[in-house]
Amino acid sequence: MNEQGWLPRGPLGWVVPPMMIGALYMAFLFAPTEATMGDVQRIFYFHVPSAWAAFLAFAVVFVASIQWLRTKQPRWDAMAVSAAEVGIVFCSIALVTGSIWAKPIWGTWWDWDPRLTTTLILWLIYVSYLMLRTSVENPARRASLSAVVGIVGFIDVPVVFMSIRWWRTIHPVLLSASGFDMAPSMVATLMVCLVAFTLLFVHLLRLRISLELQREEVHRLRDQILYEE
Amino acid sequence: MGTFTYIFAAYAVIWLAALLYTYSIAARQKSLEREIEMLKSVMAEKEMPS
Repeated sequence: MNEQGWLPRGPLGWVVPPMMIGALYMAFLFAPTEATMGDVQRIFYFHVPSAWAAFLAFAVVFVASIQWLRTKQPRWDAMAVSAAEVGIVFCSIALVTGSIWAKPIWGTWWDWDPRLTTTLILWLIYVSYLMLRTSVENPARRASLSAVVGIVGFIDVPVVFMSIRWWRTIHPVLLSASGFDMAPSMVATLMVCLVAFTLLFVHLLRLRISLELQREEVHRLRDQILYEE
Repeated sequence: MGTFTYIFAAYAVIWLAALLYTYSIAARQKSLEREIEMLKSVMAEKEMPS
């Protein structure tokens, strides 16, 4: 078995592009125009799945960090750092698209609303996670320190999700106790987009883990050359 | 700005971010592949009897 043998293989690279095109079709041609906001509401179909993919990524960081501290197997650290980087990409997309959506609806690019503020904090936590990794030389120490940040930082994910329920906010509440507060065709569109973004996340994570394992291979070869001298 | 400008801007950000990130992974992967090949050839040279 090669070094990447534990990574799942499959035709995901071929599935993601048609799924994303399907999601675009649903968002622009299938979903009806929202009555109050008009067409600009279509940003929602890619904005929410981006936030979902970011949450999923940070959940992977959380689980992989616990696994690293338990087992000290390098593959868990590789998975944690990869998920953190992919999560930052999706979290950045959610923040920027949310800001673009806010301008025509709220009349401002940014508001220190609880949902926006906690999401920005989430983004900053995982940027610090990556910055911390660049400042520690020893691989085991780096993995352990960043695992602690990865575990503690995850506390902000449920806070982001619950922020619109705990505090007064201008951010819309999508999911209530009675289910989705939307037309069935809008819910169907959102579901397709959520599946497409989940697959995109898994594909990017797989690519990024593979890169991390190559990096470890470089370090291993370098050490081998140095110790043999 | 019109409604469609906002929609276009939002979707452009999403697709650009996804494409640039994929490109960045591919570029880093290529550079590491080159480095692995180079290190392997250094090791092979060392192992060759003089």
